[in-house]
Amino acid sequence: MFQTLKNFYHKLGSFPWFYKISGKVIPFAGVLSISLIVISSIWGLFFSPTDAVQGDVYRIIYFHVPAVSVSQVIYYSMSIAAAVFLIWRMKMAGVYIKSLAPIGAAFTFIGLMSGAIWGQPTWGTWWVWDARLTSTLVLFLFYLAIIGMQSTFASRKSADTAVSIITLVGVVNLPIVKKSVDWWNTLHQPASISITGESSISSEMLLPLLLSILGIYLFVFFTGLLSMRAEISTREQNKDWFKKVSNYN
Amino acid sequence: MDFGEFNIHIWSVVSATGIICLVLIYLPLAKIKKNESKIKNNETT
Repeated sequence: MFQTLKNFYHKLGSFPWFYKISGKVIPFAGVLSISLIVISSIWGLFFSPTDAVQGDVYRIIYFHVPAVSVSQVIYYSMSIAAAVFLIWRMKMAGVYIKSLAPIGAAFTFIGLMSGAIWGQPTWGTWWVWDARLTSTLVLFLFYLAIIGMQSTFASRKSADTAVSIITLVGVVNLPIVKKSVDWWNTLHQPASISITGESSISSEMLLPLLLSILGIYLFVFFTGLLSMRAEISTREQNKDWFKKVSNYN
Repeated sequence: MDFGEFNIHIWSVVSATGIICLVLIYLPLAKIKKNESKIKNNETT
């Protein structure tokens, strides 16, 4: 078992192997993720019951919750990649961080934007400087800093090192985002879904929400593979293996 | 929500999310195509 994992880890560091495998996985991941998102959106928008207090506007939950959830998970995974890069100098970890940062930033933006649009009719304001909203904004700023730093270094290795350090610094913010609604009095409500305890949302609303979360996670897997492939094609375009693959395609 | 009913808050979130997702698919695809065709052009010239 350990040997299999070790072999997989070594293969994962190979650009030609990753390029070949990702080319096979991407079409399936794309079709599956987009289908799940479309089904869960139609289910959530038209077939789940209307909320007794908020009315129809609560349906923004089917976009807001998956986006915010995945934006934090992407950052956690990037911080693991950053540690791998700094300890073992694995080039693929640098590719992973560079490719996933724009996707994480996009979903954090969707979370902030949908939250503001939801807040206007329900709270009476687009934005408040409460702990949850502010810490999520800080997460977005970390993503922007990581994207911005990529182009400020002449050498690829220096850029990957600096970005890995910044990523590890930013991971301190994640428990604050998660626990902000428990530690401080915030306008933002506490979590409605719990893995360990009972969820405070009705099952008719919860099922399409879980499906949309699954769809968005798969979508990130799909676009993450696409972006990593694009980044590898940029970094390795002078290598023989890439020339062979490009001519074959 | 009934089909055909228009709620500006919901539909602005849906459309913005849709556009961002399309951009996330299009940009890397265009980059891969560009890099692969660059190699093909170099080989033929």
